[in-house]
Amino acid sequence: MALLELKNVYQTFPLKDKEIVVLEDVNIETGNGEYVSLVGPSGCGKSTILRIIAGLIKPTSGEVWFKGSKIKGVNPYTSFVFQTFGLLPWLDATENITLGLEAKGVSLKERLRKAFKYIDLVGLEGFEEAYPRELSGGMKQRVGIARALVMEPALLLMDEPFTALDAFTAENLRGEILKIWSSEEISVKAILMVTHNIEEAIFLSDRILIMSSHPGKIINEVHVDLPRPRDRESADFNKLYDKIYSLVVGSAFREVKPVKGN
Amino acid sequence: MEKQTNKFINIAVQSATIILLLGFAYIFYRKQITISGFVSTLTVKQLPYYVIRSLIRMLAAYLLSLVFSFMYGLLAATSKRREAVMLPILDILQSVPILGFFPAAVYFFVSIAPTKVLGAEFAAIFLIFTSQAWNIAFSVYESISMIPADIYDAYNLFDPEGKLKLFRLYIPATIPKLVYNSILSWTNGWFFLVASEIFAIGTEAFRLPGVGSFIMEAASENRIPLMLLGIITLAIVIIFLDLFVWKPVSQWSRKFTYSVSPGEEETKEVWAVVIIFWEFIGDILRYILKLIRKLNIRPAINFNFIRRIWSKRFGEIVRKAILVLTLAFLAYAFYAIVKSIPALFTKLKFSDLILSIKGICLSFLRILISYLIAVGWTFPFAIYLYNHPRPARFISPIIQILPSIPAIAFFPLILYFLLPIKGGLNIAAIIVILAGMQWYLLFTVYGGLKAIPEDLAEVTESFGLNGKIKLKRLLLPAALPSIMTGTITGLGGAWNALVVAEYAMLNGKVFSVLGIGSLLNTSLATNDQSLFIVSLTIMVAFVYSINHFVYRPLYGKIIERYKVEE
Repeated sequence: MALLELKNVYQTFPLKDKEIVVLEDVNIETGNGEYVSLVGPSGCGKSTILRIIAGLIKPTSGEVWFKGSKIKGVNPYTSFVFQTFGLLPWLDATENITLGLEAKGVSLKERLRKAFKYIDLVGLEGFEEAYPRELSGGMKQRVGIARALVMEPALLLMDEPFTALDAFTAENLRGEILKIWSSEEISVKAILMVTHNIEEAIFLSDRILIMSSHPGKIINEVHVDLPRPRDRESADFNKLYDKIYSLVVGSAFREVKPVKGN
Repeated sequence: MEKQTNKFINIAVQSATIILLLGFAYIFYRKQITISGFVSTLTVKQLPYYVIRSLIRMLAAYLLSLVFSFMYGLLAATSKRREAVMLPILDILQSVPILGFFPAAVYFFVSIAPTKVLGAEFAAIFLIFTSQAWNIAFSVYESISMIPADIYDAYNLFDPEGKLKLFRLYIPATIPKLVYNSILSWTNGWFFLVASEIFAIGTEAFRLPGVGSFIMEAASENRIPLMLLGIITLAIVIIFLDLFVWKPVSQWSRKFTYSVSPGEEETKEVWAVVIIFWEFIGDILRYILKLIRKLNIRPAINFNFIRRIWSKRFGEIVRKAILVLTLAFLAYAFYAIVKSIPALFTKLKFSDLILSIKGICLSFLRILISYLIAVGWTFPFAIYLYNHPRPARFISPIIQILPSIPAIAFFPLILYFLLPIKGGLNIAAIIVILAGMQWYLLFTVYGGLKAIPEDLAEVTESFGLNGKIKLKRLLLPAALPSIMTGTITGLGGAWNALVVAEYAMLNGKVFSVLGIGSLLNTSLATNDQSLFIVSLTIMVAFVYSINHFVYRPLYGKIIERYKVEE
């Protein structure tokens, strides 16, 4: 059985007298053990899809199903990693990580036990009591990841998790994510990640969904069967890159009329 | 379409608020209240007691403001429908010179309180409250509606039922602006505290024991050393609170900001003495707590019990009840006002209207003169401080504290010297307004200049811009938004100062100059209801119009053009 099913999702919003279609008939299925990426030009509604799955946004029409049951409101099986971290500045790393557990009424002792497990896992030892302002971008995102994992979700949603980081930190953290993902120490059964970085998508995922914009629509799907760890220099990697690149660019310029003499 | 309905709601709500306010003043207008004589012969020994009375009044008003403002801001920020009604009301309350309503408020509280003294205390606390609450409420509203989207989303995901939302999200998010505005409000509060203590209602002075009345009474008894002692004591209390309470609190509040800009870090250093002082107090408290624990007394209130009965449904019932009560009260108030309109029209005199318009023009002239003097010296001085960091380091802590000493406290002193001179009260009024305005203006303009981003300053330097060109191209444009903020706040305060400053009573003798403030006072002294209502209406209408048709559009334009984006 599929873990997540997104069925015929439409998202529109009114602008002046017109209805702007953000998402058009989006259908997504993810199975156990899958790392799926959503790739597309900016403004194509990738993040909106993630927010619909998480239950932050209610779609205009369409349904979100999880393990065969329909989801209403905030999705209890998912957890979210934000592009800009979304950490509360007045809570230290541990308090940020355990916020969701605290809201659920989990006891302090249990909260700390779980927090320390994930603090170890993401490599935040020594920063347990640091406030977000005292942390570098990479460390902040580690807090963000630990905060998502501690909720023990079945599906991990990541919205451009490496975009706000510098190139070195991002590369480092991608490696960490793969390590955690393969470690089997976590509850996560599948990952759905939004990115506009094609190389990143190929490096990390098993399957890549390619979107077009205006309206946002899934136009293609590419399976990545390269052996891990993946070599960015390999010919296969580059071939795949070119293929996806042309698909994304093609979708972005599809609606642009060719200019004469070009 | 939506914008237009919003505008309509805005105007409707604001007019209703103004009518209610004026109606309130009309209904509770009564001839003078004889509750004077709390202040007996003054001695130095009484001063601490007077100071404590004043402080209790301030504290009560501030706590009231804090609770009210937080609830008001939170309610307005968390629902679009509430926002449409609650914001315009706040806007009016903030821009109306509340001091003019004080006599009505005194009568209202005296008539509902068990004793007259208590009623007078309530009225004073209420007056201080009205000077503190609105800007805090605005800051709470702003802080909550401007929580960054990612933080808000993240919060909702991890706490979908919102169980901890108040303590983990809303309260922390409001703290930086809440504290900043609390400091401003506290300053306002001092002004109104002193004003409420020296305010003369009718021919009899109405005095509550406090520092303000101490100063005023000393002045009217011609005891200058005693008066100076009162002023100095007040200044010491204010400075002490600033250094020992607000400085540490404001440093603590920076923990709750989303990001700290580098320049901000050093400005509000807390002295080591202060830290040692609080550690000492903390030790004492801990010791007392230990003693209490040894005694093993159970707390009187069991908090679990409150949590148990505070179920969602209970909250819903309370909310509905508050809404119904508010509506019922408003309906009754409107009914009472409408009922009294016919009587009002038979009493109103046209000559009062002419007099009031004359009065408002003269008062405005006084304010303008003070404003020009204030701008005339503060702006060059702020630029001097900006260009000379070394003297600025000594002077800037002083100009941070000076605005918090209420100019009104010097009023008796100024009167003492100026009343014998011809036109002395006119000069005294201008000086009081100026004194209230200038430090604030200097403080904001200097703040605006200091906030000029380093890179812009470096660019102008590297191109060799100096003197006039630098002034025209960098300093003046960069400081404009803060000049405007300082102007609006300064002029707003000036109207309140006028109500007190144009009319004085020393040794039972009345001195006054023609102006809107003195008309309000005279009408009360001579029990002229028509004049009171007309002059109050004219003042409210004038101040409101200036705010909405002159300052606001101007401010909007200036911000749009000159705001330095971060």
